Amino acid sequence: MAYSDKVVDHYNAPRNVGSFGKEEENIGTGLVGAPECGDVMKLQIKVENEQIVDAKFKTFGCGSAIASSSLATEWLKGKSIDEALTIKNTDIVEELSLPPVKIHCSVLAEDAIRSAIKNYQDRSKGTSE
Amino acid sequence: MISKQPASHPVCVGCQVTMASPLFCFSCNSIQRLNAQPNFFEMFSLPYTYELDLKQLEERYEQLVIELHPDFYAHSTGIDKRQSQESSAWLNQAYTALKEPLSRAEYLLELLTHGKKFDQRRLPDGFLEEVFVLQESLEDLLEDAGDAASVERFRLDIVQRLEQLQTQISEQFSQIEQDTADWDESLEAIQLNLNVGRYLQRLLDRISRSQQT
Repeated sequence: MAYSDKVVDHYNAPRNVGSFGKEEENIGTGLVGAPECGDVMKLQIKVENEQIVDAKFKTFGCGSAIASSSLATEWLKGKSIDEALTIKNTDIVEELSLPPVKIHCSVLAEDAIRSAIKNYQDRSKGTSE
Repeated sequence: MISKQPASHPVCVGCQVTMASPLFCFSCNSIQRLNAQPNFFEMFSLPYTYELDLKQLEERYEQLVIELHPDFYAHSTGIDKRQSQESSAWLNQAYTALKEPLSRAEYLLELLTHGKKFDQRRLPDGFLEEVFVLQESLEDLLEDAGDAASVERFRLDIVQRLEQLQTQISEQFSQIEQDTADWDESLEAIQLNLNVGRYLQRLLDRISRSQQT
């Protein structure tokens, strides 16, 4: 199976790889795993005034999983929380031309986005109370 | 139901003799025409059990793989020719699945749950975080190209964890066989162990891939 050009591009030059420092504030972290293959994906967002100002990821998995999370961080930057929640795995499938056997990679990225946002919301609730 | 015996004893349509495998009759040397893939254990006339006799599995596989080989059917009727291709593919799929402990457990679990699925996403608390840390340390070890000894130590740790997992799975299946525990609880516990196993296996795959390049 050949990867699409966009997957290869993200795989060779992944955007926004890394983590935010533990002491940084306004961070939401999502850590998710793919039961099908054992891939793990960590995606983090940095939020200011309900806007995602930065995003980082680290994925241990196949090219499609790396490309899906790399693309997700690109899309997240500059979006509001509400806008970010509208990102669907099918958008990622379409953008990267993922074949059916790799759709679960895009699902993983959507799960990671949601889980990072939820983590941010839980944490900010914790600090304001 | 788990049983020590193969569940059915297929009879050859040609010579009416009871066959060891539904795929081929060794008595009249004829390939059997089948519409659907037989049960993996029955293909090798083996009992439905996790503690499989691997030597028997291999021996029976080798006998069958020769008899069913498509080369022998190149000049046969279209039906037998197609059947030899199909049966060979079924045989290889069954052999691969039964040979490895985790895939064997997965197949047996599927048989025992009759398609009822337990949660494949469920993991022990904190396990995903642990895998992420393991993946990160492995990455550091692999980048540090000269440190083959540390990579080997890391690999052996994971191998050991997988072996412990397999021991647990074996105990869980044997509880089911002996009916000494709640079935659903044991089956769910096996599923949980299999979920964990996939992430550990992924770490080993990464090491072997790095050693090939």
